[in-house]
Amino acid sequence: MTASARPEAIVEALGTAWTVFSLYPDPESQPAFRRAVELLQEASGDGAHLDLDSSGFSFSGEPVVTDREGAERFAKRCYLHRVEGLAVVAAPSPRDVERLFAGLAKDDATTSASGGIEAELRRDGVVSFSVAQRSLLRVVGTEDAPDRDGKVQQVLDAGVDAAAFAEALIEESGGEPDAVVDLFYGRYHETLDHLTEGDVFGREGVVQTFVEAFFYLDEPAQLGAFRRFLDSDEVFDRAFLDQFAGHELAKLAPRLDSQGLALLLDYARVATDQADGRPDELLGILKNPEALHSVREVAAAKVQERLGELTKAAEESAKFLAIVQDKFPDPRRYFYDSLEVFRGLLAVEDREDRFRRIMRVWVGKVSASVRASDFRRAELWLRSVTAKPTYPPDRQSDVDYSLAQIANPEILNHIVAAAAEKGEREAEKGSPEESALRLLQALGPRAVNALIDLLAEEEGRNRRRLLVGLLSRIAAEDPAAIVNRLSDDRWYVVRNLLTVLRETSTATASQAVVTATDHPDSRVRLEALRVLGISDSGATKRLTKAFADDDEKVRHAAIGMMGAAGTADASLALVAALDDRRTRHSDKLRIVLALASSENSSAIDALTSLAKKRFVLGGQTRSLRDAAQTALRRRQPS
Amino acid sequence: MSDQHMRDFFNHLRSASRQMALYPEEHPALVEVVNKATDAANGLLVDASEKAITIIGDSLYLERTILPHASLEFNRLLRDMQARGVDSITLTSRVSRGDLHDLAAFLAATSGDVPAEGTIRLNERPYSRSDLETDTGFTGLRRSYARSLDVLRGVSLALDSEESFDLTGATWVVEQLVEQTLSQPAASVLLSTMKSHDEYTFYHSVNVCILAIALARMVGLPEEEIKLLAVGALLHDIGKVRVPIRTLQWPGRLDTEQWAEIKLHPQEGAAAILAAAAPGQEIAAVVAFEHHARFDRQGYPSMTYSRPAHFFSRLVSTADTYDALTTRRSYRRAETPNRALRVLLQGAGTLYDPDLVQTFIKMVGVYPVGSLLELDTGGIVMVTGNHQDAAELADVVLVRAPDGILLDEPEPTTLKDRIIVDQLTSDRAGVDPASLIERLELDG
Ligand SMILES: [Fe+2]
Ligand SMILES: [Fe+2]
Repeated sequence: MTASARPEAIVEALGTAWTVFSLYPDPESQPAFRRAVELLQEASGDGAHLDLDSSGFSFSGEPVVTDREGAERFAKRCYLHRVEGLAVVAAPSPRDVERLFAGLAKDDATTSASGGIEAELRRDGVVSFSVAQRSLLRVVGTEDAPDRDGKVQQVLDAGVDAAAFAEALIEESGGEPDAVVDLFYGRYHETLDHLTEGDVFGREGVVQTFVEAFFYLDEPAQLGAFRRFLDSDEVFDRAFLDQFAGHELAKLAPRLDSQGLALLLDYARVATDQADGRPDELLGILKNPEALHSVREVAAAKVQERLGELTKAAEESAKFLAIVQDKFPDPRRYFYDSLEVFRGLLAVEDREDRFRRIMRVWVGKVSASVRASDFRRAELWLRSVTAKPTYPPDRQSDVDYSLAQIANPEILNHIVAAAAEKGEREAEKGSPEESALRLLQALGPRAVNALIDLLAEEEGRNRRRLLVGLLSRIAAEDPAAIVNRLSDDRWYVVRNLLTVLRETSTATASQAVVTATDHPDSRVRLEALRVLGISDSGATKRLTKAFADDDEKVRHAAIGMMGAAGTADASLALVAALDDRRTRHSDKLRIVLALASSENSSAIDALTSLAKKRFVLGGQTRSLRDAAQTALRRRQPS
Repeated sequence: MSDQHMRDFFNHLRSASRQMALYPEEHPALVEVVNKATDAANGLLVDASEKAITIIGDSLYLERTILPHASLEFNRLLRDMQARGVDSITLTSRVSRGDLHDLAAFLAATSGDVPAEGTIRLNERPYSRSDLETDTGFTGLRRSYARSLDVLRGVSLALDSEESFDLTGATWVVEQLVEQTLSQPAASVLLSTMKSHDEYTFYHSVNVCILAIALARMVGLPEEEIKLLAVGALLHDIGKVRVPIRTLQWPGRLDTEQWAEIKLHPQEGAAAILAAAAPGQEIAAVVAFEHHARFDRQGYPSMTYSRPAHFFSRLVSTADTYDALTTRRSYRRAETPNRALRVLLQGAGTLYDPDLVQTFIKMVGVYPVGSLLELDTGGIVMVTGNHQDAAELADVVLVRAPDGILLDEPEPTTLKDRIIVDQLTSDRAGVDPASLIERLELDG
């Protein structure tokens, strides 16, 4: 946008915002309103001064041409309020814009009664807009303005530019604060004395001009003048004070000496008798000087509380300091405050490359904290992103990528070592071990493979237990992550995984273990059988199949487990294997022992019939019979 | 403006000396820069046939006048000179190109020969230490200021080239600044009136740092906290490194795009500081992120968390506004200190923390140290001591006589029976307050 296009853009933005403001109860929720405010903020740099007359806005004498209806409506509204100049002097907040509009939305009489839009804005603490309104009297003046004294008219005319008026007063007095005060106070009364009786608008204007000019005096002169008005009970001196908004009084209060402060407090105390008046309503009441006495107190209605605080503060600057020091931040919170800012950063950063950079900073922070064994800090850093995320959803993949970066074997190794430190004992609350554990839980799912590799190489008992426990928890949520690694060609890795899967009870997990019973490595097959156990419905079939395994340990384990199952089915399967020619002799001996340990009748029957065999051929059969007899004898005493 | 001529001269001398080591004797680039340096040297001699440049400590003097800007800007060059044993350079009309070449080569240590023709003479020392240095107490302050600038230059360079940096340097200079500001508050505030057009952001940052330290001391923040705060203050605008230079130096109102670029500097700064911060130093990033957040949280960038802007951020924002307002920018005239205070007051409660504004005003007084006041006599005085209200205003020195002549030596004077008619910016008064430090009796 070029500099010459700016006034149009400002007027259009104001128009758009005004339209939204007129249509929606909560304009700030409307993107169009927010965009317009943003534009005004951007345009505020040096303050764009727009002039206004019946034909619309102009800038440096050139009419501002726009074809937006909203802009035109806004110009009309301003004109209705006799606005002759509007400037954006600082970046306005949405609230500032709403306050400006709220003023314009009121009817003209209300805003003039309260001293005009600009005065209202200042009272609301809005400093981003400057609104110049033509004096009411100059408009009214054409028809029925009373015949005014020249001095009064001069002041009223000057009211349009309070700063210049104040400057003129200062110049006239010589600038020395006491002289300024004398002249200011004297001129105020002198002008009021010259008012024609019944000229309420004139009175209003004079008071307002002096009040506004007051704010352009230097601080010493302000304090001096303010004291002068406080000292007096005279009705117009009170009227002057009544123009001050609560926060303005509060601001002046601590700078007064203790006597002045006492006077102000006195004033405020009387003023608060009247409960619900607002200081800006007072100008209207000026029309009726009799009512003043009872109503002027209203001015400070909301002030007393603050004044109370500030009195104490001002009487003793030590107490003021104490108040400030009360607001000192807690150094223990600094890190948390910084994390909040980091989260804020994630929320506002909408440029992809910069977001990625911030993610890299984050990876660095978590990793560095882990390497420094500051697991508490690492956890806080980690959670600053992952807990209640502030980043936009479409950045998820960047965050995932960064998490994967963090969850590398080197970092995990550090954490596992710390988390296992405490060994058997439960990690204490708030301890680094607890943080390390939570870090692992947070990072684990991103790092299953790395954890599995760690487990494969790990020999420490505590660390192994920790890793198995952690992986099982992960497997419970996401068995596939573990199951995928069952095809690892290192048998001990697979065996570890079976141990992990034992802790979970999902269908995927058990199916995967069943598959592992066919693993080429017997040690894996063995572990798989152990993991599966004997309680499920497929156990008999599975173990029977294992009777034929090439590996003796597997066969023996299967026979032993079958015996331990002790069901009729199991015994039948054992008996069948006993009768099977393909069954090796050494296995048959084991089967006899297994049957003996079974507690059901078919097992006992089978043993008994074996023991009673009369004609046995061959030493092997004989030894089987002997074994059966021995087993039965052992059972007898019970 | 001798300071400006001096800076030209030193700028070219520095380039010439650097290029000595890179290029053969007759290389056009070298020839050109030596010519420029020669011209600049002769530019210094327009009003005298001979001029002496003296280096004492970290300060650079042209004749008897200290040159604060050049002293700071060429601090490194000064140290190089001292390392070569040079503590004064006397220029004689007209400086010859050959001698200038010899001088540059000597400083670059590519040659051991001093200038042959005698138009430049080394170590003649027409002025002694006692002639020039009225108070060595400020050398330390000035040195810290210079080092802070150096640190900022270094950090910016690193950031600009996306290299990593850490906060060691910043922490180190800040410790010195804190110590010196706490022991010499008035002198520090006076030094903080230092401005630079070319390096606006760096000077501004050091000024804000000094003012923030002074304000923090005023509210009674413990010294350890002040140091943390000061790192944040020093680096609060560091994110501007990522704002295009043409936007920063744009001589007018900014357009939408430019303004958007500017508005990114808090978050850029915070990200850079976080990356650089060791554990315990992160709070500086909070200051960078929030220094435009406003007291009512309505500023930029938008705050997604619920707490108010951090106390440190509010404090730095107060000092930031004050220094920014009192600086002349390409698109805006400087405000007088008094006017700047009024702007702060106007924004108290919405833009700025009212308690801190109040304390700030209490600290600097109605007319802060360094304020230039025009009196009814036509003379101009400079405020040299803190005071609570105008009636107490006592420590002033006359810097410009009623007849409009600038005084070589400021004269202590009184405001008794005098009326202050106006407050002037240093541009209007033609006086650089910071350059007067050594010639005043200040606290510390
Ligand atoms: Fe900034
Ligand atoms: Fe700044």
